[in-house]
Amino acid sequence: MHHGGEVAGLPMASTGPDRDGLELDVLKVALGPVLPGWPTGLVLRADLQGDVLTSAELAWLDADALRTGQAPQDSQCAALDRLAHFLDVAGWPTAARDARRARDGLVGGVDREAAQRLAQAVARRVRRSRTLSWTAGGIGQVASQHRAGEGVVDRVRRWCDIASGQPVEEPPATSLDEVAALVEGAEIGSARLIVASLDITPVPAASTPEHVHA
Amino acid sequence: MPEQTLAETWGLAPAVLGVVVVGLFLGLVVAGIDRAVVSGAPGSAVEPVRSSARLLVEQRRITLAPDRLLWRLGCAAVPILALLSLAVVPIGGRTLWSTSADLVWFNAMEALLWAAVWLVGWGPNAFHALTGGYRFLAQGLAYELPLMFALITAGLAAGSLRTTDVLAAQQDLWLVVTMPVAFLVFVAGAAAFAFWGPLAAPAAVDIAGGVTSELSGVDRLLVQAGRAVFLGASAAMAAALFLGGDAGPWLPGPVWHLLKTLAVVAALVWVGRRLPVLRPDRTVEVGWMVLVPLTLVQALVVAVLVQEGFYA
Repeated sequence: MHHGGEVAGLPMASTGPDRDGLELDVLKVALGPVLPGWPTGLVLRADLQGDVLTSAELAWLDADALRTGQAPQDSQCAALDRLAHFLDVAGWPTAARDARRARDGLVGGVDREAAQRLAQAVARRVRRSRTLSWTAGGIGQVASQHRAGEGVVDRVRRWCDIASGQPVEEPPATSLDEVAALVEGAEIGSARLIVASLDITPVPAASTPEHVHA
Repeated sequence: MPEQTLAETWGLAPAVLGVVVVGLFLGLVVAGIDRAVVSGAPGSAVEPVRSSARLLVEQRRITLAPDRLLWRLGCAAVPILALLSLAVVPIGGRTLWSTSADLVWFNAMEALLWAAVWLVGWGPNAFHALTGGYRFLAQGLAYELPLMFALITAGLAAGSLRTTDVLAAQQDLWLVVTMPVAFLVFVAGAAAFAFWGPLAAPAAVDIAGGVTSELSGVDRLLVQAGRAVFLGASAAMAAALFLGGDAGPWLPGPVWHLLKTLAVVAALVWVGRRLPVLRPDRTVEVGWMVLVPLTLVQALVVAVLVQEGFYA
């Protein structure tokens, strides 16, 4: 490690060995706590070499306030919401728009049937998209026993099922440590998709040592 | 005798002004149609006009220790290159100026865009912008060769690299009939170098807007307008090279060209907005494994047809 002095009051990036055995600049970045498509309050602190995350650490900012601030939602609307967030990150604005419209219609619209039809249509469209499964395929596979090998696309498809109104057993929420393990070694765009595809809910400070005060 | 250029007919200054006006009009049309399709509300087609006006008066945001000179240079280069590429697109059957290699000129403007977009990413000294710049170069590796082969194929059939000659070669038959692959690759290539729609990875949401993430005020307006004008100019070029340009019955030539251009824009937006953003590593794979061989075969087929005297 060497330090190359300062630029505009900030230390220059130091170098570190990368995955190919080269010495590359290591950049320290923080993603969050407010990012489109990510849960509010989630902060990812990472070491970056090029666009690859070489180490990652996740934490909640003000998790107590976040939790009390959230109104309980029925599972279909929650799934539509998550789907819309994921589609934002995946760069699919028209599908995200339809998911939001369906959600709004189901929550407070006059024509619930039309909203239900729209929800089913958008869920079918996303579920069947070959382009999405091709471009988001092969990333974010979890290693835990009951969901071994389940990647970003599988999770998004499960949300599509819930979003279209089918009863689907929701898996237990993923812990921040598991998420950190998933995004380590991923390209920054993939990491954004992986986090957006997971069900992560804020954990209050008392029960977690990961809490960070701003 | 070669036909007169716009600059020779109208005088240089009025001709340049005319091309700039056409370019801005095409850019606004592209941005308006795109906005209406994305938001699902036809009324929002005027939104680009409103946001342009807002960006004009907005104050600049500055990052810590930016490379001001190169950043500004990159931002200004994007719309200038877009307008320069329009200089060899026939408007009313004539181009602003004419070289013996118009198609190469068009390609060169788009190749210079590599440097411009990279500088836009490099300038602000910010991580997301820089990542976007790198992504644009990666995407360039995917689209550049197929796009070049597609352009050359049109020139091959006409036996000339002059756009007016390519137009003249389509009196009997539109070139798209014998070179559908070149046409599709050209339009997809346009979306790629304007980093728009499914090929917007350099400015995608997953990197907070990438090359555009730190842009504000006039700089943002220049880059966004440049992208839209590039798309509009490419649609007009596609209509001229592959769809017979201003050839058509009853209506005057320029109206036909405009209608074909609008059709290309509408088709591009309609198809493009049905897809999510494609990761650059995936597009490189498709570019080299599928599109390069396909466009080469397309060029070969056209070359054989030229030998047979098909286009004569």
